[in-house]
Amino acid sequence: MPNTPHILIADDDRQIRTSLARFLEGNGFRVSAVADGVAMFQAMENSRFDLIVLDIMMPGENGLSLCRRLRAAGKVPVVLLTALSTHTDRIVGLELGADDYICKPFDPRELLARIRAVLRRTGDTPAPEERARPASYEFEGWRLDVLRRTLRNPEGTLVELTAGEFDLLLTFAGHPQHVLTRDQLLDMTRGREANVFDRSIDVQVSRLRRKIEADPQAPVFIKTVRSGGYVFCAGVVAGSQGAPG
Amino acid sequence: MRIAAMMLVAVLAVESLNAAALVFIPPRLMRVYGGHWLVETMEKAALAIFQADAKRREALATGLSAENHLQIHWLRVQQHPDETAPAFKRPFPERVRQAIESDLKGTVSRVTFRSLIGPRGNQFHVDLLFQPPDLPSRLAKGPLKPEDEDIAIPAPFEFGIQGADGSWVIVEPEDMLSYRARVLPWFITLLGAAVAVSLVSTFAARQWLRPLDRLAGAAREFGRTRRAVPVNTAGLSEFKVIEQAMNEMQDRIKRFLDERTHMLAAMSHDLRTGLTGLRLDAEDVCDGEAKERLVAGMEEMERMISATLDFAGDELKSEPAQAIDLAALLISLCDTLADRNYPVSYSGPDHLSAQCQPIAIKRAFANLIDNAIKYGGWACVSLSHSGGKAAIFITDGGPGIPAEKAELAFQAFRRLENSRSRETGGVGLGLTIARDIIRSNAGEIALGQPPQEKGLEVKVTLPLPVANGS
Repeated sequence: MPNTPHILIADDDRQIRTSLARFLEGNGFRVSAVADGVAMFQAMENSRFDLIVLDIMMPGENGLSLCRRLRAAGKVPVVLLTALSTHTDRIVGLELGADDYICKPFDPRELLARIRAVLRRTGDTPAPEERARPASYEFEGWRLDVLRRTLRNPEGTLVELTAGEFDLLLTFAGHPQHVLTRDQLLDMTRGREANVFDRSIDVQVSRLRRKIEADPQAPVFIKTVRSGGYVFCAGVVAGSQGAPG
Repeated sequence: MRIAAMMLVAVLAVESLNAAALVFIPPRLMRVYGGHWLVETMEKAALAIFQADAKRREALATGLSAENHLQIHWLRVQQHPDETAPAFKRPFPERVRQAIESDLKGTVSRVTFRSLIGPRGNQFHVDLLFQPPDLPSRLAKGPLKPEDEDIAIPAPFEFGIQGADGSWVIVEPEDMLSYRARVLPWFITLLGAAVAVSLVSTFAARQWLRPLDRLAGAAREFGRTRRAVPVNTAGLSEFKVIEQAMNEMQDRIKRFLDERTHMLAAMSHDLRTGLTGLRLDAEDVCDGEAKERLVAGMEEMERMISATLDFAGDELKSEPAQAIDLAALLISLCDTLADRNYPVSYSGPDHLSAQCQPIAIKRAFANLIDNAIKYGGWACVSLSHSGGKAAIFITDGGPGIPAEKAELAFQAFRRLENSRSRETGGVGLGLTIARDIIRSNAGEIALGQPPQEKGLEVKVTLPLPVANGS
């Protein structure tokens, strides 16, 4: 099975290890499981893994420092399992180089979707530097913080976006001045929340316009293209990791 | 110790004032009148007054007083009881009395003498004690005749000369000190004492209350932030024991809270790990309906765990406030729910800037809107602002909450429909957490009835920053 991705699960709870392994194997992955950081690095010496699912709260070395070490050591993408929904843990994990996170208890299908999204993203570009997404995007004074999933207007006021709106804006910011069809947008934004495709892209765009356009009826940022798509017309500057949110 | 010292100081201050008053205020002088002179002057005055017209008598008496260094009054009616001291007790004045009585026989019906001291209206008798006791018997007796040797009549005295018409001429020594001069020393002393004592006690009280104020302030601060506030009771060595007790108490409370937070975090981790495993195992269940029920049950448990931990934890409280777009927040909450096919509507501006804790406020409104849907089936959210405040109304068409149960509804873990049924879900913390958060953000929340009378209207007000550029 040459192309079946090999996933390594690192979690100290036996029930999670066995149940998650069974679930992922049932969805077409090869799975190995370890119980702590030491065993994890040992396993990595013996085999090559395509993705690591790492539990932050394990005995022994702290999950976040393991994450840092993994990032430094190589190019294997990491998805964090966090037990506490503390925002600081999440942010710190992503700033340390994890590719995504999910809070326990999670919907297994959602974890599956994120694993697939990460693998898709990192499949073609194995180098960590290229793989890393920008920590933020700026356009016309607006600031989109990717890690914290926040948007600030030019006055610095936080403007709350729904998950769908955020993912859509993220996609736009990643492809400025490109005309994107509805299908393309659907494909690019799907993967985080299952309900994004429950609302059409048109509805999401009109909601987003209400949030960021000075006049939603006469949009400046998100312009409709007659042939059936949208284009993000602002000049976008990508920010590096570690920039303040 | 300090209290004793302060009291000593106050008492000493008052006593010094008294002493100063004594030293600096001139002593009173005592007048001594000559017997012959008194007889002549009083006879002349009495005759003049009794011969004058009744209307003029008082004025005349006053005039004569000044001339003669006496106080002469004319009284139509005897105003005080007629008690004449026995003759042998007042040897000298008695001779003057007898002299006037015999000289003016015919014009004057009688002459009385009293020895009184004290201001008019407040007088009392003085008695004499002789040494040797038989002194009166050795002195000359009988009316004072012009050829007799003069005798001395010291103040105080009061002669009363009754005229034929029954009215009286009263003669007393001149009062050396005016009323003001008599009262003034007493007044000064009293005032001075009052001032001295107030100054000393105010100063002392302030000195002592300042550390107590600091203590109270520290206690309040600790209660609010739950972070230990070291107490500085400098200048209050007697209260060192309070300082120590206060600091110890803070430490104990903090340790207790830390233990509790740690316990909750541990519980959270364990429960969530357990739920994760269960959730994964549920994937193995083939029966679609059974699986859905299992998953729904687990999600409900997760929500309850979250709510309880939020309530008990500190995270929501310690989040710093930031500028947030209140309208965008409410719109996002409504849209997210609408996407899950819940009937939620929003009306209001697209943008409104406020200063509050972003994640906490989102949580508060999410709770309120969730409650509306849970108990009322639908929710209408509206936002408006006026007078520097934002007003958010969340209305539903459910059973509502009667006014008398409003406060109960806010209590932690209290669910008004008492069954704690899992049908309606929740642990009874939604309103509690929401109110906590809204109040920490300087806002207020109230439950009431919507205009259409059926259902619940939740009104939230939040302050808006002064220069609000939406």
